[in-house]
Amino acid sequence: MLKEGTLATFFTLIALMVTYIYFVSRVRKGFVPELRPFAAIEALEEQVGRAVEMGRPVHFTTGASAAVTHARFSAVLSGLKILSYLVELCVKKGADIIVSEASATVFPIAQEIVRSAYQRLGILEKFTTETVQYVGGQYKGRIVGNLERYNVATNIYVGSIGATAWMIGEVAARIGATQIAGTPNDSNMVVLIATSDYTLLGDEQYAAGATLSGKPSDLASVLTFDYFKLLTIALMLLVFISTMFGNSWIANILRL
Amino acid sequence: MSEFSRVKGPIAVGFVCAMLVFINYFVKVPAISTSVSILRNNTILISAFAMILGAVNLIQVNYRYYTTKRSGLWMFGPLYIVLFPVLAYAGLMRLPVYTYFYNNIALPISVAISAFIGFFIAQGMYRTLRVKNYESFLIIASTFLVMLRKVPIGGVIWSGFVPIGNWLLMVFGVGGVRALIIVFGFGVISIGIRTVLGYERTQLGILDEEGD
Repeated sequence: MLKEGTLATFFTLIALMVTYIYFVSRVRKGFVPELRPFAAIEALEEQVGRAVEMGRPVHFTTGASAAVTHARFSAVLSGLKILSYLVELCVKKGADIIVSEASATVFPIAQEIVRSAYQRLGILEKFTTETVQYVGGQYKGRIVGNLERYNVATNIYVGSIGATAWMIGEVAARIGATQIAGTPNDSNMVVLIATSDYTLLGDEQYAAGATLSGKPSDLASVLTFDYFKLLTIALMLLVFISTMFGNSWIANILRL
Repeated sequence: MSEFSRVKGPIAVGFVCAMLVFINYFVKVPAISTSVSILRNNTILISAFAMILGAVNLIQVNYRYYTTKRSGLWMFGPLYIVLFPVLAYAGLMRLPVYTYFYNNIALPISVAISAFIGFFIAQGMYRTLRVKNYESFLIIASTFLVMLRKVPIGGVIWSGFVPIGNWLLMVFGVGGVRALIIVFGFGVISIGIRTVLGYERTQLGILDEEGD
């Protein structure tokens, strides 16, 4: 019935879903997991305050365009979760925010997130066409242009990030803007470490959204995937040791 | 907008589409395969419609740059507003002027911007690669060793640079990257499961407090 080589994946997916639903109900019943604080997330408030003091805006971007069907889109979605927190913070503290969005599909979502926050806090008149900007395929030039044009105080760059992180990070440093960046993309993490003041690396970006919202569904996903990470490490060790002793039945089960 | 059309409807549609894609991955059913390929084509169609929203925003922003005399490059606002419909028409009609503009203006500018990255890398390296503590010394030392492995002069200076660089890349580099790929995979699955089960609502532009 199942396609060849998908049996292990199928059961893993079912196990993940069941565990996730179990943790959602557990968190809803009052279980509060202890989450490690992220320096980058804790710095958001401080950086927005700095922007207010300097009278300069905060800039946010999810970076390169990512197709909805691509795995990188999940990084953009987790970036948008941070945006929803950031925009509330900016509105409450009185800082202006400029959002540059490279993906046409994500642009209306970002616009809706920012517009709703402005509307909810009763300052919709401050929301202009410049607040959320579509920067298109040549996003690097437009983002760098926006950093210079608006003389931003802080650049927050979380999502699908390419090699252009060098350019954006260096321009931010040149205009005296602090940078908070995050990407799960392994090849560009090193760039962020070199150019940013605070970074969210690997799956930290996904977990950061959970610490911000505190919703049971988000906390449950952090719990589920932490347990599955431990399980993966245990399985890797088990396969390694059993293969060393010439026994490959665990590896064969995983290939089913 | 009603609760159904704003939240429940899109979540239900998302659930059905995701289930079709899941089933297609695990089971071979021709009807589902056809539906999934139609869905994938529709994402291109939706992206094309979203481009129109983006284009409208670009015109609005450039108009605002001009009217508010935004410091910097406000004078390019009217140029954009004039050129956009002209080039859109030329592109749709497949006129040679479109290719001319693309090959002689857009492409060289794009290549030039990408070429700048090399200089930004050098600038960034100069700014950040400083020995501040023991950890940064380790990073800088391994950077130089890997760099000497890659450049031809490294092997000429000492043949040992090549195996040391290879060892650093293949043991620490590959190990670290594989670990990151695994956790990235978990992150993608977590967002996927939350979206399929209707817990994730960011894609609908809904703020966190409104969910759950």
